[in-house]
Amino acid sequence: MEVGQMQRRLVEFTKSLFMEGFLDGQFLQLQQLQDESNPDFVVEVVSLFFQDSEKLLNDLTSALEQQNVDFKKVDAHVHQLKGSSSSIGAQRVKNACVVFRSFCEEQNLEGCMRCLQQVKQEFYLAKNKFETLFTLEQQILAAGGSIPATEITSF
Amino acid sequence: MNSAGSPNVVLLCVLLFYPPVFSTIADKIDQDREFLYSLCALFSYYNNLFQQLFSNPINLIISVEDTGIGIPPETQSRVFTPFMQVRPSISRTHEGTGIGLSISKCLVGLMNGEIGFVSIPQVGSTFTFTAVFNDACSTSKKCKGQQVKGQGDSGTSEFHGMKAVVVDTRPVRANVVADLNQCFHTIQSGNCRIDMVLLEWEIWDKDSGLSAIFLDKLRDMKPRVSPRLFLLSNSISSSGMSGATTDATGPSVIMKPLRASMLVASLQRVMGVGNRISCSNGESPSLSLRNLLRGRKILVVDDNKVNLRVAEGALRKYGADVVCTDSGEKAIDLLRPLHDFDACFMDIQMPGMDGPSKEFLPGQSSSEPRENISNFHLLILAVTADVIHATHEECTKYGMDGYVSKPFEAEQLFREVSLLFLVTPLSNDVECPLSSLPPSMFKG
Repeated sequence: MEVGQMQRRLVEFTKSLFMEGFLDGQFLQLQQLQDESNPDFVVEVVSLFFQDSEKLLNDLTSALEQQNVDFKKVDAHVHQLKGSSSSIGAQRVKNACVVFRSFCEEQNLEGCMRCLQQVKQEFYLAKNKFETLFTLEQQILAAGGSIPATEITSF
Repeated sequence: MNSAGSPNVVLLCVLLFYPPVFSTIADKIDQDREFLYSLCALFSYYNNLFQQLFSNPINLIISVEDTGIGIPPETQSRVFTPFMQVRPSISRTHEGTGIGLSISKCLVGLMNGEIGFVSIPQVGSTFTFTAVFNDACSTSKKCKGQQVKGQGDSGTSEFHGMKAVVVDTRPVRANVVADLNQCFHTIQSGNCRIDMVLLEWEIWDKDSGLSAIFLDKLRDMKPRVSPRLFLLSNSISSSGMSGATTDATGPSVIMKPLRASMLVASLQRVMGVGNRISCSNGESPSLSLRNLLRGRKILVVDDNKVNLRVAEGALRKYGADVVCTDSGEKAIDLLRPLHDFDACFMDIQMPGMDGPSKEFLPGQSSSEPRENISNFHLLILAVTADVIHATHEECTKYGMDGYVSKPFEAEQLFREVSLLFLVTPLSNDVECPLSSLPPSMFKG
């Protein structure tokens, strides 16, 4: 596949991520922070997110498996996850966390378990999408092309 | 001036208002130091500017004129000698260390220049020095594509047509008004509206009764007609206010030395013009934030690694020097006296940061404003994802200067960070060649 085609594919894919709500404006901000002095910023931050959050999800799972669930602790974890997903623009993960927190407040165990599943699902979906995005970018760069800037038209 | 071959010569004149009478030697040392640093900052600023404009060595002549007490003729031959002081005869109103000028002479010598002065007692002194600069950045990436237009000219058109009254007791070249009564008279009687009043701190401080009356008179005027009041101060210790006020009618403090971009940011913030940071002039919003944040040392405190990284990335993009830490305790350690941070972004949703645990925060008790932390020039901003419940009052109660949302939103960030300019001058270590000079230079 030649570079122009790859670039178009990337643009379409990125657009779809926004349209389907996987990404929000914050991701665009992240992209704008990337420059020659910081060429891998987006990949770095997103990787950090996935590493960090993987651990959080494990902690959440074990916290909800306790005999006496400490909802405050669960809420604290979810708050962290909500914060970091918000920082990278992973909108669907963030929204799932918002719902999760309301169940924590109600101390509704069943609701929390369901939310955990939902969050995990969104998390792995997002991870998948990001991996595809970065792979497409790498392919373009390897072929000697440049990454087209994400245009903010009407999403 | 030409860039073809012959050396370029630039003459730069600076007017200085001589600082007020000091009560302690420490004040005067501070003032001397600030004066030198201002000079260095001025120096560096124009150095950077000219290096981009000219590709050949340029000779710079800088002239600084003040309206101080002057130097008696019989002592003029000794002023550059270390530890010599000019002693006024009866009342000892001016103290000093006596090394300021000898340091200046060394600096000038290092810059291949010469220094001299003319002085008339009771009128003032004019010091002049020369320096030669070589082009140091012809291949540096920083210089490429940097718009010189954006550097020196930070004027925006928002203030076109506005009228300002400057109130100062010292005779200067420009028309200024000498006291508060005259000022009010000017405001009242003029056929055009006065938008702002720039007032020397010492006039405000001299007679608090008169100042209060003046403020009342301004408040009594119709809101649309009443000018905004700015106090120009040399140092925080003399300003007596613990911070900038955002109250609509109270005066705002702007620190001297004045820099154009700083002044614009302060005026914009208080006057409420140019609230959108898209400036007329084609200056991009991020350039405005870069003007504010460049060179500032900022501490970001957040227990979430991802948030820290993103905040750091954003602030670094605007040229700030960022240090990250993940807890309140570590932050307090970093903010012990003689720290050189300009601002601290503190996540107030960290565990242990609610209610009584906010003791970690500076200013926890009204009787000891920020004593745990040396905050002499520190702007503290709360960072929260919960902007709906965050309020200015809540923040100031705990000693914060304001709040920003997480993730950062550019306009809000600009607004809150511009508070930096209402209270503090640029940190002493930035842009000053003094700190990079070897100590051996000061021998003999």
